[in-house]
Amino acid sequence: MERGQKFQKDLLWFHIKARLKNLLEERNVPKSYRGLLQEIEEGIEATEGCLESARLTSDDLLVLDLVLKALEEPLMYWPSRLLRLYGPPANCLALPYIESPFSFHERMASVWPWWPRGSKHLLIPIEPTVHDSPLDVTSLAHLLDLAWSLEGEDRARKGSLLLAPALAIKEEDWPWISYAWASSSTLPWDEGVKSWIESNLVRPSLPPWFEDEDIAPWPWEQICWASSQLLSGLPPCQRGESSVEIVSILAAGLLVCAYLSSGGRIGQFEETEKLVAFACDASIFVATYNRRKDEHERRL
Amino acid sequence: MKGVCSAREIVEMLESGDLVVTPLLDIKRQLGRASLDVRLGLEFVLFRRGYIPSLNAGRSRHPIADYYDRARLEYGDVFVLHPGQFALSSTLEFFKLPSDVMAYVIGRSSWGRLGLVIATATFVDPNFRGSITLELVNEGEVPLVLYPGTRVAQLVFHRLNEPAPPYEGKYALDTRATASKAHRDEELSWLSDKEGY
Repeated sequence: MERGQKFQKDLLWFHIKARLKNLLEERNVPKSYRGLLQEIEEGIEATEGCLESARLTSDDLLVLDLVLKALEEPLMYWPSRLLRLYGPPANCLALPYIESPFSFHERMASVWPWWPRGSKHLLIPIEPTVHDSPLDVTSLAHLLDLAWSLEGEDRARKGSLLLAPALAIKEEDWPWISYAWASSSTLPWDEGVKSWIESNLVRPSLPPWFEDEDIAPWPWEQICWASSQLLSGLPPCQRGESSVEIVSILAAGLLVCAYLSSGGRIGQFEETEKLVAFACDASIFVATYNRRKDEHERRL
Repeated sequence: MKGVCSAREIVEMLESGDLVVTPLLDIKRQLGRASLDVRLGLEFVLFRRGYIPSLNAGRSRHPIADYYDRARLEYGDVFVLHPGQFALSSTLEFFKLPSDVMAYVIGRSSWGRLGLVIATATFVDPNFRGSITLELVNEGEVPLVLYPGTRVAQLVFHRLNEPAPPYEGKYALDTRATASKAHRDEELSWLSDKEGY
């Protein structure tokens, strides 16, 4: 290796270690970043002894540098919230600077075979244009799609399918999205409700060229109820004792925003966004509380 | 009926939709004889000790947000409130009060006995809509472990003699723990002005 190249690589290695040290000592680093930082620390320690002999290129090191640079940026709440809720079973981190989604350990182990195996971290690129808002469903769906694409090509549209009602309202692409959503078999709708919506609400409104198996069961009733709550200035997090599905809350949020926009009342978007955000968080809490309560009562 | 609302009146207000409390996780456990228990929320606002020499709401050169850190918890996480420590949180619930009902936030005795004070400014306006910010202080001698969702406080509702106008205060539609907006009190600008005195 030429002396200049070696020097460049050593300098980059020094910068990587400095970045890592700063991040590890930074108290405001989000909890979800800590696990990855821990893994990088262990990986770097394991590499120290064999850096000279390792045939690493500067490009290999740049990947690590880029990930650390991304971890210096603040965590975006809604992208990480949705990835945790609806993403693949792994630690999914939405990060800037990286170009394509990848499994961190697989990437590192492919060039550094001694890299320690930590938790499964999937790194998903996040565009600088993404708004940290529950109403930016297009970006949220895209992030989910990217994350699921790492789990196999057949799952690459799972995010869009899951958020289809909200996306359709935003993009006014109702027939196509409902078609696409119909192909998802992973959504946990109650069968009775599903068939009722399908036969009473969805089927009559579908164009004739739809095939039976394409019919999408939309949670219309829940979306309508959530919309009316938002329009009354209330967060639609709980109906009866049950939590409201996040997908319905997001769809209702966009429906209400579209309605407000048509009346020129953009000033009320902020209130709607606040109510949607509160409703999503509270709904998750209600669902967890009910589940834990049932588990405890069953045990007694 | 004027005065403090009974359990029956609280239920009637909830059923009619005049009073909204959402999420209401367990009304049987939360409803007292003349009160409604409320739960600790997920977010905490903490003072940054040692960062800024003093907090002067009238003449601060720092934005008020510089005085605080936010901590966001999930279900099952714990927040440890140390002896003497002050932190803001909010109720887990979102409220909409009727126009002729106000409420007081009062600590639950079970937690008070452990040293937890949950509110120092306890008045909730009629027509208020939003989450209620709780001002937590540990007056005890040992650290207290708090879980989001714990019933730490209760609301006592009072019916007014007549309906109040819509609430448009500084804290309308707060949905999370909100730091002080005392700097927006306009009289502070002249109360803190010593020019020409």
